[in-house]
Amino acid sequence: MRSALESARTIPEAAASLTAQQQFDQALAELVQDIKIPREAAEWFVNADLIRGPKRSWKTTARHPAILATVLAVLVLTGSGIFFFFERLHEFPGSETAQRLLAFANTTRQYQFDSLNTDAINLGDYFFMKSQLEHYDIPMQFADFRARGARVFDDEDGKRVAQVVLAEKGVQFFLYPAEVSAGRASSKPHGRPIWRYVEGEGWAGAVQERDGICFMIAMHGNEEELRTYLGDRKR
Amino acid sequence: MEKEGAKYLSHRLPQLYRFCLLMTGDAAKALNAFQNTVREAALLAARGHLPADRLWSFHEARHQCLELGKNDMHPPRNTAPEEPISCDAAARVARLNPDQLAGWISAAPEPQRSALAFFYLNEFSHREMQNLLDLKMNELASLISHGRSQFQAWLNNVTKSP
Repeated sequence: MRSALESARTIPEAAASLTAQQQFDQALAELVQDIKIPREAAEWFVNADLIRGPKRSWKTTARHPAILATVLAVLVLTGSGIFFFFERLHEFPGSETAQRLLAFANTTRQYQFDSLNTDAINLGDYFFMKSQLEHYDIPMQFADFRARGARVFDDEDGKRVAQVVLAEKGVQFFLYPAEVSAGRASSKPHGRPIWRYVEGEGWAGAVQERDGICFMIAMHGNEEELRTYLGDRKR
Repeated sequence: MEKEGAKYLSHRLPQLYRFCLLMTGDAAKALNAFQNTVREAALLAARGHLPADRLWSFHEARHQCLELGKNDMHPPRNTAPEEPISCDAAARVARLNPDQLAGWISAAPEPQRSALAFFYLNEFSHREMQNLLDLKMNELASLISHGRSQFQAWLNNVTKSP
């Protein structure tokens, strides 16, 4: 509208008409301001300051629909943010594979394993000799576990997975190649490998990586129970 | 905001009365509409329900004026001749008194009457007038534009060329 007015000013006839209209409006507005206020009306002006609504409390302000909607939106966004943050906390390179393997822990039957009766410390040699799998070693802290069966299979990504069933009921080991594009450190620098946890199918798994191979101990139960179990083992 | 509303009310009461006069064209009716509006504001304030909206008092005053106008013996003019704004229009307007202008505006049909009263009160933005009158911008512009031309035609009749 402003540009239309500017254009109109460049045309002499239009500019004259526009000026006359503005002067006309201004003259009428001034005439309106000349309206005298009668005494009866002016008496109200004195007490007008007494006419005021109650001071709006923060509670009233907070109950305003616009404020409520904004607060609700912020809460939902914050909640989603926190949810995704904690979801991300549980993710690590290989977490998807670990999650899938928990389903195997739940469904594999005893007869599917090759029978064994040996300490877990020997399994590294066993997998190398039988399936040419290098570095499929069981961490030393589980060296004294008794293995009752083992098997090697290819998962849906074509990774060679070793699964070990133990004498201790409800506990299994898995070994599988770590993802090449590991974005996060799987071990503390110059320290022990750190545990990453996954849950699913009524099982919990703790995963650590060493020499490009992920070792997962899977236990029937939840993450909390597995953490306690591993803590007890450490002691 | 509430405080601003109250401040606005005290500062704008003269404008509120002028609006009532433009709407009714009669000092007694204008005073009546004005007093009813302020009384309503006082009543709502006492109950703690006075709206913080600065347009509320003018909205209420318009309502009061329209209510008073319902019993009017003189129906609003339906058609009026129109003439383009002349160069000497401002000079002609200067010869009028405010009551003549109020009489002319108050005889206009609704919503043109309210549109002209709000417009020449020189108090509101176009957006505020749209809200007060519940009109689209082009409708508001048309009402004011026709009002100007009709007033010019009337002005040509009641005043001599300077």
